[in-house]
Amino acid sequence: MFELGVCGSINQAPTLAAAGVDYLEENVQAFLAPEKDGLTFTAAALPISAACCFLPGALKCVGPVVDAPRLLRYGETAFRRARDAGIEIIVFGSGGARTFPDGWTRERAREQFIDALRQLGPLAQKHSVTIVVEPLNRAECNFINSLAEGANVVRAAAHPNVRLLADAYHMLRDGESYDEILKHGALLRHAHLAENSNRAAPGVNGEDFRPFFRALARVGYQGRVSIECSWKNFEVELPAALACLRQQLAEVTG
Amino acid sequence: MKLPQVAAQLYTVRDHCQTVSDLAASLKKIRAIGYPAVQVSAIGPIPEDELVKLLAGEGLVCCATHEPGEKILNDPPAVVARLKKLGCRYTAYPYPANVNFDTLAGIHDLAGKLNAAGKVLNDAGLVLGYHNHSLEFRRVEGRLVLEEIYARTDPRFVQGEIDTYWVQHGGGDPVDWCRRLKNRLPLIHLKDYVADAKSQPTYCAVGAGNLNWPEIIRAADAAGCQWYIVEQDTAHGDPFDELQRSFDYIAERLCSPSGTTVPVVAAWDGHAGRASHGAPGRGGDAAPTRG
Repeated sequence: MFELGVCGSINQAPTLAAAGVDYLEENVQAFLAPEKDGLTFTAAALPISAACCFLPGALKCVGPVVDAPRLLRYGETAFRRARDAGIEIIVFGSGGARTFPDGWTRERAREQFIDALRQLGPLAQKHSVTIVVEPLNRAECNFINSLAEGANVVRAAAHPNVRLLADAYHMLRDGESYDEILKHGALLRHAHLAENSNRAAPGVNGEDFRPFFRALARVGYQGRVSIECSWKNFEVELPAALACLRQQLAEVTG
Repeated sequence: MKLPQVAAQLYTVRDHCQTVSDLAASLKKIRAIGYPAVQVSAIGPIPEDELVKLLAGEGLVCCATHEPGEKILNDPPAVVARLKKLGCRYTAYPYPANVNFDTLAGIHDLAGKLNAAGKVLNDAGLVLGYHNHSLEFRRVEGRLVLEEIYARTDPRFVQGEIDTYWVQHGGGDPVDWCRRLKNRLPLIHLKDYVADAKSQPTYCAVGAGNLNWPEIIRAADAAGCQWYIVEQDTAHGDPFDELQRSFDYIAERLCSPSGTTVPVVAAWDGHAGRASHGAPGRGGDAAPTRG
C-alpha cells in the first residue's frame, strides 16, 4: 500500500490533512533548523514522516572545501530532531552542496560523497532515521544524475541507514527509463514525483505515472510517494493531484 | 504512542465549551496541561472559522471531531465541508441514537448507512470512524453487535474509534479489539475503568483505574493508531484536573521516547517566521540555489 504525501510546510498541515494527504514531507533546513538553538515542538494535523533539503548549498560535501566536523554536527542535530518529530526519512538531494566545481573530478566527488555517507549513516542509525540519496537531473546538479549512479554510491557506503530515492520528475527530465527502478529497487526507501512539464502538480498536464507506480510495485516497493512540484494554485491543484494519483494507483495495484 | 499524538476530547469539558469565551479559556487550560491536540465534540454553536482561530491561537490541533449521528448519516457532504474548514481528517459516528439493535436487520441497516456516509468522506480524502459504547456488546441473533458492524462495513469507509472503557464495560477486551482492528484504528479513546464504593463500574483518569494500559497502547500502536484521545464522560471533580492526571500518567508512563514507531507530528517554535517563504510550493530538495 502506497502512502501519498506532499512536500510542503507545517503551515499547510491542516489543509493537507483535510485533503486526505497521508503525510507531510517537511524541509530539514527550515523545519529542523540544525544550526539554530532553542527549538520546542507542538503538534500538527498529520504525520510528518520525511524531510527534504538536507544540506544548505554552502555546506559542501564535495569539492575542495568540505567542513567535515560541521557537516557531522549538522547531521547529528538534524537526525536527532527528526527522530523527535517522528521523521523517518531524510532526503539527500541538496544539489547545491553536492555540485562539484570546475577543475574537480567526478571520481573525486564520488569518493568524498561516499565518505560523507559512511560517516552520516551511523548517526542516522543512532536516531532511527534513514538517509535517502536523491538522484537529480543534470540541469540541477552535476553529480549523481541517475538511479544507477545513486545506487552505486549507496552500495559503496554500505550502511543500512543509507538508501535510495526514485524521483519520477528527475527521471523524466533526463529521459531515464523506469526500468532502472527494476534494477535498483531493493535499495529504494522513498519516492518523489511531479509532472515533467514545468514540474507541475499531477493532473495539470495529464502525466501518466502508472508506469512509475508499476515499476515500484514490481520491485515490491510499498512505501511513501511524495508530490514535490511547483504549485500554481495549491487549493485547486491539490485535490485534483490526489484524485489523479489515487486513480492511477488503483489501476496499477488493483 | 508519542506525546504529539495525545489529544483531549472536548466532550470531557463540554460544560465549559458552550460559548466562545468559555471555549477560549478551556483551550488555554488544555494547552497549559500539555495536550497538543483536541477532539472537537459537544461544544456550543461556534462557527468553524472562530474555532480555527481559537485553536491556532493556543497552538492546538483539531485531530478529529464527533458530529451528530443524524448529520453524518443524512448529510455527509455537510460533515465534509466542516472537516475541510477545520483542517481535520477524522470524525466518528458518536452514538447509535434511534437505531434498532434488537434485530440483525436493524444493525445491517445502520451498517449500510455508515458505509454510504463513509464513502462520501472517503471520496473527499476523509475518514469516518465508529465510536462504540457497551450496547454494541449485546448479542443479537447470536451475533455480537460490534463485530457485525465492522463485518458489514467496508474498511475504506468505516474505521474504528475504540473506547477502552466501554469495551470493558461490555465485557470485551480492549487489547483484543485493538488487535482486531489492525490497520483500521486511526483513533482510540483512552478512558479508565474502576469500581466505585458500591462496586459499580465508573470512569476515572487514565492510570487511576484497572485497565492494562501498556498492553492497550502496544496493541493500538501495532494497529497503526494515529491519535490517542483522552475522554472522561463524567469527572469526579474538576474535569480539567482529571485531564491533567490522565496527561501526567500518559506522558510519564505510556509515551515512547520518540521516533521509534508511528510517525508523529511536530512543529518547532523557531519555525514561525517561515510562512513568508513557506507558501504552497515544492519543498524541493533539488535546486542548487536552494541547497
